[in-house]
Amino acid sequence: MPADLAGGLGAVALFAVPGYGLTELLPGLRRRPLPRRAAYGYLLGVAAVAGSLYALSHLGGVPLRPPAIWAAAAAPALLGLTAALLRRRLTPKVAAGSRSDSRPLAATAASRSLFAARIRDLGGPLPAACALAATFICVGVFAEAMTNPPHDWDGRMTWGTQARYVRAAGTVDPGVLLDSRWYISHPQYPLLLPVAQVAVLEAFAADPDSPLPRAVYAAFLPVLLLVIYDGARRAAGPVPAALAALAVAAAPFIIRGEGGAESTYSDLPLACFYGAGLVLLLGGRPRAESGWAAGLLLAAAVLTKNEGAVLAGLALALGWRSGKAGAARLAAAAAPVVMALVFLASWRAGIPNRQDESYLEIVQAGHLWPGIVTHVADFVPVMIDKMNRFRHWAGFWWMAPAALLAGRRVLRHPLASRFLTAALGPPAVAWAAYSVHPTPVNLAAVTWERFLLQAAVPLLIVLACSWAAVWRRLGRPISKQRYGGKALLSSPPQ
Amino acid sequence: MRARLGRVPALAAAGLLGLYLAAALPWGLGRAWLEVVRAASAHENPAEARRRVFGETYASAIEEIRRALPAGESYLLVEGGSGMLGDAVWVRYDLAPRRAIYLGQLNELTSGMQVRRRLVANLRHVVVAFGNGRPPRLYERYSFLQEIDRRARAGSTARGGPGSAR
Repeated sequence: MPADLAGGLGAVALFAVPGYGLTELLPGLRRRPLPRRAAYGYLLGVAAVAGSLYALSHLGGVPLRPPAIWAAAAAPALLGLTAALLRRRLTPKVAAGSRSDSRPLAATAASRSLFAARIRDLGGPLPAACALAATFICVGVFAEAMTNPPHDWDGRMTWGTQARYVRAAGTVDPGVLLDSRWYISHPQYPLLLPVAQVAVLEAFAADPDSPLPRAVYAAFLPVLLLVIYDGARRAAGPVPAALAALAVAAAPFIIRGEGGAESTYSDLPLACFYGAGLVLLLGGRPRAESGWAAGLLLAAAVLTKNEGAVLAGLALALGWRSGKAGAARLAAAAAPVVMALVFLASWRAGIPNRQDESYLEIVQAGHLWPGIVTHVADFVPVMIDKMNRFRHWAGFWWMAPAALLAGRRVLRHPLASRFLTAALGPPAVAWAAYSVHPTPVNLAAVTWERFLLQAAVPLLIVLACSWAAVWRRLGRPISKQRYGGKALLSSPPQ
Repeated sequence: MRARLGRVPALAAAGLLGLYLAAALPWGLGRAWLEVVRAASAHENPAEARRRVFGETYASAIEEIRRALPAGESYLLVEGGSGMLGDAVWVRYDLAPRRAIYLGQLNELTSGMQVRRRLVANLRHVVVAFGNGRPPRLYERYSFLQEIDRRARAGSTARGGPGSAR
């Protein structure tokens, strides 16, 4: 039998279906085209299913066994189904083609083939070719994940090991974490993704060595690309958006690197949660429902990695808008994040920390200053060396600064500058960590590229804006087809 | 002339984007094709896949230890290699959910008495992990302590000791 591709798809569906149901409750996401809606749905599904299991296990002592897992997956799916049925019953029937999200598709279907209409909907042949290439790369990652066991470093050292202990104990509070005698790395690292692994393995009664959990991680790659495309298309139009997504898919580190799509690190999921939360918070008109969705995704970021708390705080700060609607959206976004922080503190309270850097204690001991300046000469060369490695980045970091320089005028736009600030968040966290760490060179060598990955969504949206400006400068105005409003470059700075 | 010069950064940016995609895309697409072909022709169960990726001797040794130690058992873990290759953490992952107490690096364990002082739980088994794909070894605790004492008597701190036969 070939690799268990069907099993992998089932593992992805365990989160994608409930998440898709949740998007039914959120008009802003429901109106997006199917692939992008499914991408946000997958993130919401992981957040809702794994997050609720995490909370139920710690706060309610609910065993992480199939009944609880299927119930956690079924509840949002049924909620979405009910909402869809109610909406169809209550909404008066409208003529085909009048939906705002299917702009030219139905109108042209009569005279053109469906294929041609799809290409046009994507923005033309170039975005369609980019989508095709990126899809094939994602299929390759999924195939690799279903063929090989985990063979990365941190995935096995931390996340996978924790998942095995949690699965065996049936709780997110296993004795191995609570008793300081046991040898375990980073016992206080948040467990959202290990709980997702447990959910998949338990739901399908899979062998501990089964590659099914790897499918959950591989699925984050197309999600990342679609979130980048969604945010960039709104800001810069379809062609730069498609190029931005393809540029990420083509970067070797994003695919194969320690922390990339073929690993079981939590950096790619964090990049998705942080980036998607930003796109929902910074894009479009401020609405409480988009704030709630963004808050749920940022809460998942908090429960995915330690730095998720800092990034969620930064995203909330950047999402602030004046006015009643802006305040309502911020409040809706902040509530889940605060709840996640309180929950995380409660879960950590019983776990003695060991085999960990304890950044909080180092910073409290006053090592941040002057280390933030004096350590620079140690770790900056390592950062540059990593970014210059052709096998890792294929020249991505030679191309990106040139684009930002050429399109620098667009960075004055408030939206672009907010995304740029958001993109600087993960590197800033890295800088602070390297400044206080006793061996910053070693730490930078193994983590710097992962921080860059965490910044992928906002950075690529800014790059897409720069490319749009470059294209305009070269006298080839890009398509003005828009989805959901004008692109950033066609509107004057506010 | 000035307008042309003003286009240079834009031309450079567009050119570098083209070069980047020209360099990176063939690699990405080619690799994806290989993975798809490999997955389509794979006929392995998880254990066979582990043998292919981690080596026959390592994977078999892990399976033997899993059979000898039930999932609820715990063990003492010793780092037989330098520790720079993550030897102990891979073995810990492969043996999880069996719980481990870390005893230290093998070359730091110089006598049975010293090891006994480090024991914080009365566990019967010791697993020594080695790097570079070498298989881990399972010992009864008493035989591991005997080996440590024998090595101390022989005075061979640099070489020998448990696992040296491999």
